[in-house]
Amino acid sequence: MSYCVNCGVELAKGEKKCPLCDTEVINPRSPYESSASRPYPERLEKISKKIDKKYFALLAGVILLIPIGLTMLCDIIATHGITWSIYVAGAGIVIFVAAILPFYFKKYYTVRFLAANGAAILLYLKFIEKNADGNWFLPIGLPITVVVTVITTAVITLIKKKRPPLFVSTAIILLSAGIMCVCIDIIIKVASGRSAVPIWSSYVMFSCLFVSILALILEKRKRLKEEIKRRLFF
Amino acid sequence: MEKKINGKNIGQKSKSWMRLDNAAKIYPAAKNRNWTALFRISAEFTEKIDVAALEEAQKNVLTRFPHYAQRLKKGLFWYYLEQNDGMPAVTEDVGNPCVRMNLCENKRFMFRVRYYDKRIAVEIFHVLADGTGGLCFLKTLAAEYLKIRYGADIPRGNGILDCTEPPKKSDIEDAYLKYARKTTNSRTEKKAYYIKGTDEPIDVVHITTGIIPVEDVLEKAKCTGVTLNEYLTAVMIAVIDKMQREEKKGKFLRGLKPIKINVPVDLRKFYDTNTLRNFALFVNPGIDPRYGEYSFEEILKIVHCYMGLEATEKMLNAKFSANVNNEKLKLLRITPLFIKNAVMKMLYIVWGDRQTSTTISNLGRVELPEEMAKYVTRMDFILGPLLKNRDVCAALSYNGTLYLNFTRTIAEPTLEREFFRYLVKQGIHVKIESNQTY
Repeated sequence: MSYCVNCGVELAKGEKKCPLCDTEVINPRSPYESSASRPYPERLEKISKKIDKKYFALLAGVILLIPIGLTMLCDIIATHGITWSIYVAGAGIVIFVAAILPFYFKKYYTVRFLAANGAAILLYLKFIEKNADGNWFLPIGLPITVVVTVITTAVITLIKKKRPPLFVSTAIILLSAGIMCVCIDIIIKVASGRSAVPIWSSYVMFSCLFVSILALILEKRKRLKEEIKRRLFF
Repeated sequence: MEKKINGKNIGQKSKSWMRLDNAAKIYPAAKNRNWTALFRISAEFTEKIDVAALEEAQKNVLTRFPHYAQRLKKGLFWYYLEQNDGMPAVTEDVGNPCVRMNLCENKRFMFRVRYYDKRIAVEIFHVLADGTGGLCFLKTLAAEYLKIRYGADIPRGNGILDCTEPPKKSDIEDAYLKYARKTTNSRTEKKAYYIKGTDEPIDVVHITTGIIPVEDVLEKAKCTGVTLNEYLTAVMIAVIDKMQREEKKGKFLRGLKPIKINVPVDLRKFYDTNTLRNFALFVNPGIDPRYGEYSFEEILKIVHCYMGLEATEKMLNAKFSANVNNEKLKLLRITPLFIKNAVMKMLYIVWGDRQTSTTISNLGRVELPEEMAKYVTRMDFILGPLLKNRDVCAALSYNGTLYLNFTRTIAEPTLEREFFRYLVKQGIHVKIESNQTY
């Protein structure tokens, strides 16, 4: 039998160190036996650290309702009716569809969720146009929303499925951002009756193209990539 | 005969249900993803556990303990227990006992039977029973196991139930409700000092067991004119007092907080009840270190007098009657469960175990009939970690040995180290074992 020299307690045979003070047991007459039976098995019960997604979604939904409710209350008090606060409520619904709704599902269905998000934005824009007596939904609102939704969906799906390396993903994202800007520029020009030649977006496109090419070159230069990773790690 | 419409059994007997007892009401509200109020009682046998016999024994025991075959359900106003058909799996033990219980797992049963080498352990969610109720469950399970495994004829009685008998109504009565009176006593107390330390990951639970000849401690306790439990409580207070003074060295005395130990008291000894559910309350003996340094003799005297005053039927009744009367308030009763839950959770976080520095729960001397004792070599009682009190102690004595189990979810074993060193200095022989891995 071994005793802890610090604590004075006898230690069970399976104890290599004193559980109270971490002092190693050194007893030439009775050395530590790794084969001695331990009071508990080594297997541990693991606790999954998964977030309860549905609970989070419910909580986020309730939190989202607070500003909507407050703005509506202010609106009612100030104007005796619901006027401007309806836009806040609409924006709340769009945020719900985009950020909270996916948490109710086990899996993130990229195409379906992004399509639902695009549809929610389109409905919201149509509602604003109708309420504000405008005529911009068909020429600008609809095409921009569709372009942004389609390009975003395509990029996310591509990255999720192919899982390209970091620098290639960066290049894809930047290029698609450039293309998106060009499309928006053209849509705005056509809607305002001007020639469909992109001007401001070409600067964005060239910058994105330049950085994308740089990223693709970096992807090929393994040592340089490693050096950058080493210096920028956090 | 049962009719079937759309594949569903119509005319099938509806599942029985029962209310939670008064003490159990707080636990479902207080539980969270990483913590459930659990305790564990185990028995070690002379030979390796036969799993098939254990499964059979569990099946038999559940017929006699129907309130264990329940699942927790949410009503509109209160949680309730609903009959849970099926049988929970008997599983291999783990190195982190009393780690939180996921109530969606294990077929939604709120207890788990585990085995390891020669040991059978039951871990029970406090909603079902208290330590005494749990001990009765384990003793009956062990008796059934021995009957199946060795054909042992174990006499029933003294906490070992006969599984061939039908369950009795008195086993599942809410004794709090039955014995509560109108006169109540305030339960508010000052917040106590609590032991701080480095948080361990959520699945790490340290168990340190002190194995002590019960005669050694009893002799010391008798010399000072106190009971064994009072003696252990006084040692705990003295040790925590030292820890707090060292932690706050150089600071003003007024910065010191009271040191109080949560000591559960079994209420069955005051009332004529056989309930197997919760029927315990606690007293919080302690000292206020701001008044100066206490000698061990002074602490012993304080604990002894405090227990004499507080651990009495009248005082305890006034305490639990306050809980019962609150439960009966109409406004509280019609408040929806989700509001009650939020409030109870908040109260538990703010007050739950903040009024005490740690817990020392002693199940006392466990006695088994001779026919059973020859197979059972050891018994243990372990408390699950609490929310704020991260280092707690549970004890029982069996066969002349006191088994003191410290459960800890912080990295530093300061409390148990100082506690056992104190006993060693008093000339008490302590043998230590733990669940630490190498």
